[in-house]
Amino acid sequence: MRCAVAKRKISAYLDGALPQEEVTHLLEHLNSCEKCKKEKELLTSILEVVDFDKETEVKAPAYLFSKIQQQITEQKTVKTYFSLLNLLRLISFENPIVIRVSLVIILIISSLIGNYLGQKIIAEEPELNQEIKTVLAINMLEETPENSFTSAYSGLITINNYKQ
Amino acid sequence: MNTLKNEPDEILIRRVALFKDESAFKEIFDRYVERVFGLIYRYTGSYPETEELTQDVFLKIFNKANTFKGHSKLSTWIYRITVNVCKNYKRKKKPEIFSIEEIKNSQTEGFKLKDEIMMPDFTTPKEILDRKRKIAIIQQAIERLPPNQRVAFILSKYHGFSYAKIASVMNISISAVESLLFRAKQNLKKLLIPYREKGEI
Repeated sequence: MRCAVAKRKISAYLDGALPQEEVTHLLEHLNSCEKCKKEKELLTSILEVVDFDKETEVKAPAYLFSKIQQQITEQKTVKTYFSLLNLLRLISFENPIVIRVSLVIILIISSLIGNYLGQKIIAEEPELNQEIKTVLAINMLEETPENSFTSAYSGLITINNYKQ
Repeated sequence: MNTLKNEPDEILIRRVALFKDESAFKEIFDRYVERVFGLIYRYTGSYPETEELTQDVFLKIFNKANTFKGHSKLSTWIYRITVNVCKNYKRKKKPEIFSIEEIKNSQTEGFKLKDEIMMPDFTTPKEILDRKRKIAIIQQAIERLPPNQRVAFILSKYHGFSYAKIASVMNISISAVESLLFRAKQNLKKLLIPYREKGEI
């Protein structure tokens, strides 16, 4: 047995994990090899020190479970918050059905608004023209002779009223 | 509660998985807390961090109970979670490395961190001090092992696991365990020889 192999086997041997037939081989080698024998003794004494530490009692504090319980309760509150978020996500724009429905709604609403505005403008048109006439053309109309260039221009602006 | 005491692990974890049964969870906690706490303490060497990580482990057990499929024993599953929590943990501070002089000069109150360990009865203060020194030196040496070697070594020496069981907990082959434990011993030898030569341990 080569020493490098023996060195590895010593480790398993000390852990009690070496099969019996290999133990015999290893012990034979250790009897004939002073260096490996020393290695085994050194490791044994170091592991004895570890055994010594094994006796130190490590104890979990008694309050640990109530701390964990507290965290579980906190978790539940967070969970209900997230399930609320999930509900919102259901009606959010990530959902393709929601996207389609909302597009249709937007279309209907905008056509309604457009329709309403259009009606309003038509209804208010005479008033509007009157206003334009007052602001832009009235003076011109009064001060310019008929059939002149200026009157034709101002006539274009207030064409409807002019006709009336 | 008393009826739960006789229930096998598998029934308890199923109750946690299905009903989030807190009394079944408490029973699992009682059965495993010392093992989990002990492993993490040997790994981190710090009480506050051990407390924190133990809580993490048990929260994971509670939340992920439904992922336990019963292919392995519950203890193996819990050890696996614990080992993962240990390996994911990033040490908040460097391990304190006491020089031999510091250890020599320190009085009994010198090891604040290690002081929390409960001491068996000893007759003289000198014996207590000697014991504390030795324990501090060994624990520090173990804490300085690389993560995988440290986990394998702790499971082997402090929890009495066979190579096969370590392999199953760490999800590696038996020959990998063998090699980890070989290297762990070689490293410990290197770390501890200086103390041995000076008769500190």
